[in-house]
Amino acid sequence: MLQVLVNSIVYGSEIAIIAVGIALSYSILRFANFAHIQYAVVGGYATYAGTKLGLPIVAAIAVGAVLVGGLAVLVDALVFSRLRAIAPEGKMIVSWGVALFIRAIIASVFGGSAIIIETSSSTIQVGGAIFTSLDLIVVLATVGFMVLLQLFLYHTRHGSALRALASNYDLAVTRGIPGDRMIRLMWFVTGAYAAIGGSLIALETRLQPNMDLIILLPVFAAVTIGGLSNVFGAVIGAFVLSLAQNVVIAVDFGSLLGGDPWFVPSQFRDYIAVLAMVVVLVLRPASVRPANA
Amino acid sequence: MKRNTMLAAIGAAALAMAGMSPVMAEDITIGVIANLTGQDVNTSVQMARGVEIAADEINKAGGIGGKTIKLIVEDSEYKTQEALTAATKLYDVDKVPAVIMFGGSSLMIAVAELAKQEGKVLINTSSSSAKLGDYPGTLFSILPLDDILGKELGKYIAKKGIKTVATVVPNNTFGLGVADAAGAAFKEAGGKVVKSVAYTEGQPDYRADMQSVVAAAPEAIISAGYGDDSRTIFKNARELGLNVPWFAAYPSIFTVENDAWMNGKLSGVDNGGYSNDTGKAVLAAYKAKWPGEEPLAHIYYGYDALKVLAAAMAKVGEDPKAIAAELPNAVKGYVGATGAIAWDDRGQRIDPPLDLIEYKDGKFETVGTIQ
Amino acid sequence: MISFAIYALTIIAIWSVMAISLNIQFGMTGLVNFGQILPFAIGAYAVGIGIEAGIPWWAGILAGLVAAPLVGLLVILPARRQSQDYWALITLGAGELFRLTMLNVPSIAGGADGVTISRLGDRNLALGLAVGLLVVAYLVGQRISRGPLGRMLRVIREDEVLAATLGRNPMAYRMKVTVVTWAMAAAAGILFGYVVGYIAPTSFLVTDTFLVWTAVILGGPGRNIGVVIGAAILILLSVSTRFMAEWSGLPSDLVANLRLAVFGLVLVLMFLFRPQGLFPETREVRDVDGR
Repeated sequence: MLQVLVNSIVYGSEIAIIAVGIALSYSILRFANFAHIQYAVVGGYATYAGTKLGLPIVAAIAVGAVLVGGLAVLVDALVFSRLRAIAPEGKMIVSWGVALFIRAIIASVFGGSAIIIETSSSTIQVGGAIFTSLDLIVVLATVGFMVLLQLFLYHTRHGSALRALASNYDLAVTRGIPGDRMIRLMWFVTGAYAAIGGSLIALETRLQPNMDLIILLPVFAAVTIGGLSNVFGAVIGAFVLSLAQNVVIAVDFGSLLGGDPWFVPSQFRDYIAVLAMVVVLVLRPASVRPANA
Repeated sequence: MKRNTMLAAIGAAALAMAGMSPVMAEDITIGVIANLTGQDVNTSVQMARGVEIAADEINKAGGIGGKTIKLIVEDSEYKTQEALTAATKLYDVDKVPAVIMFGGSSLMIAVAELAKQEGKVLINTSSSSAKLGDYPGTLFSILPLDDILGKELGKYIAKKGIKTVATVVPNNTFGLGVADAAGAAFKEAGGKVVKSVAYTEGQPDYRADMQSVVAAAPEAIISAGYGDDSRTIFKNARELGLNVPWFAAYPSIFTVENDAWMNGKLSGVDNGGYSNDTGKAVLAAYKAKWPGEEPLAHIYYGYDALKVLAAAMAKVGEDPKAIAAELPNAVKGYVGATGAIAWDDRGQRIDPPLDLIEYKDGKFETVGTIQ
Repeated sequence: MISFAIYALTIIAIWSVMAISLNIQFGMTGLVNFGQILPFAIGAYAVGIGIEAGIPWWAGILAGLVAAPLVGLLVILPARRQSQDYWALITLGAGELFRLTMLNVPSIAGGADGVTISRLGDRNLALGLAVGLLVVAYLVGQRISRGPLGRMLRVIREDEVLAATLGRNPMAYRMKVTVVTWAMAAAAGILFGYVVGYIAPTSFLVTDTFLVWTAVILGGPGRNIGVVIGAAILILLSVSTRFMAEWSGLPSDLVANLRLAVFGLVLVLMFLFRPQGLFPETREVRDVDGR
């Protein structure tokens, strides 16, 4: 069972670092950004390109993060900033278009086949649970970047400004907080975090242009479980979801019910993620007052 | 208004291109449908390249009766509707007599229905559903049905003295077909399947799937699958310390992730043709044309598909009905990159040459042949 | 050439019905259904499962036409409590749950393998049925749009509280819309099944939902004729790029990817420069009873 916990933590870390960006942009702009997950994929490809150009991996990830942060700011300047006033669902549709465009461009440049970033990692065994040095780096990096985000949001002036914008945008702006500039900063941070998350997933597994469609549902499920606009809720959501996915598959329901061993087939992992998302959304406190009360 | 502009643009492009189009009256056009976007892109591209290698070879040798083969490659997006759009275009607009296709049965069967209705030929290089036998005279499979190979695999593992296995296959017709056939043969020989995993293709991580296999503690694993996914599966298995032998259907289409770990661990039943002279020539042609790119076994199936088609067309010309009637004769005596080809009366490949191969020191070695 | 044109027109007609269905939901009522593919899939699968179970063809069709609106009523319920962006994610999830169920439980309808449906061999008949369905859908759409129901729906779309103060129950209207539009989409799905002859999970992806959305945004939400033209443009774009790929001599996988890039670009540019679509809805000033 310890191994199940380890697996959950590793997968949860991969999801969490991407999920926080969606929660951050949602908290300020009420904008569930589908393109955000594509930023993660672009980050992975940027890291790959960096290593091909001879950069060490850490430097490649850093450069990728800055580039994708810039990309997120650019996309905002070209598209999203012109559409601040439209309904949240309209923004979601536009972001889908942006994601589709970026995905197709990535596939045109790098091809549709999967790409591997070669790494060497060693196996570590702790009390019956096995993981790799890379897993450890991924988890530590996630924890590190979460702490960093926490420090940024709660212990810097810019962070406080972002939180003020999140809690009441108009009020914050009238109090003199430069809304537009802070939004650009927010996009840069979310883009960079997405790129780091995407690079870590790429190192752990592989890169393909449609990777965003595969991690879309788990990431959105994590953000939803965490309450959509709560940055650290998204992290908790990622780990809760990951644990649920791993535990449901690992439990012998057959024996529990007194019969032959029976497990939930492992391909139901996605199913669990989507189901969790729907159930949380249906049960969450009402977001509109029923008009026909 | 915008539509008119667009149509005008298309029309202009058409006129401009018509003048310098490389299509000439003495060309023979043959269609290829593959999923160039969506999932399994790499394997699909490999198959298309195999067809291309065959076309180059035939054209260099003077074409078919003096005519040059021209290939038209269409994308299926791995979607039924788009595969049909591609096939309708090829059969109806480009007037090709035959299409060589890569894709799952959800695409292949839909196109087979169309080909049957149109009286055209379809060569299947990738799908292995039993339903494909419903199109005799229309559909011809280069890939043998899974049950033949799966059965031999199951028997082979039982002979090794192994008592318990887990099956790890992709959740598609090919994977489940292998798991069923191999599992049944293994059980018949007294073995036990302790865990069946059918994983979702294209996932970034199969840790949870492999964890469930570790928990079941099998003595060996029965597997099937394609390049990218198999690599991730091996990686996760290795990391979780799943150090048991892997027995696979078509191990050569796997991508081995860690040479040292996999050394001596992976073996299975594969097509016995790749290592013959034709196979070697195809491999050499591939390496010359796409240097530095790793080939997959799908190139051999694409190659053979066009070769047998061309052999039939050399005899009877471009009438699809005549081609379909000639194909079973055309393969007689042909030893292709996937070995000798024989079809039953449903156009399904039977008696493929089967070899036992093992992964040793970074490459596969043939260790035996199944009669 | 002619049968290719007939086939392309059939596909356009089917997706136009989907666009009209979404237009009534989103364009007129403001319902953000990101699971538009769900009723379509239910219709198609009802036929497929019916064939597997050996029931008569008309019973399968009937099952699809009944099942989709019933599921729709279930999906619409949370819209009472949740705002539209939350509800959109619920619909997205509902569509995926259905697809994943079909994919992962092979005993229902063949899993990834799918099921074969006896295809409509006669192309002209297929086109006739598709155009017939489109005409019916269009007339229903126009009737709703022009009638008092359409006016009320637009009031709900613009101001739900106002609708309630007028003594109308917005939820009851949304449920009516859902029943009609989900049955419409199911009919499109049924016809899709009979036209392509094969039902598999890969035909019902989230990306297909967004294809319909792109058609509606392109054509102009609120106008039925607009969204039909929007769907036609998209399918023609998709089909014509196949020919361009051949003429251009570029590698086919590159063209395939650039084609998808154009779709994304169209969606974004429309939002930026012509959010009302190519064929904007004409705004009328009337009171709720049409005077």
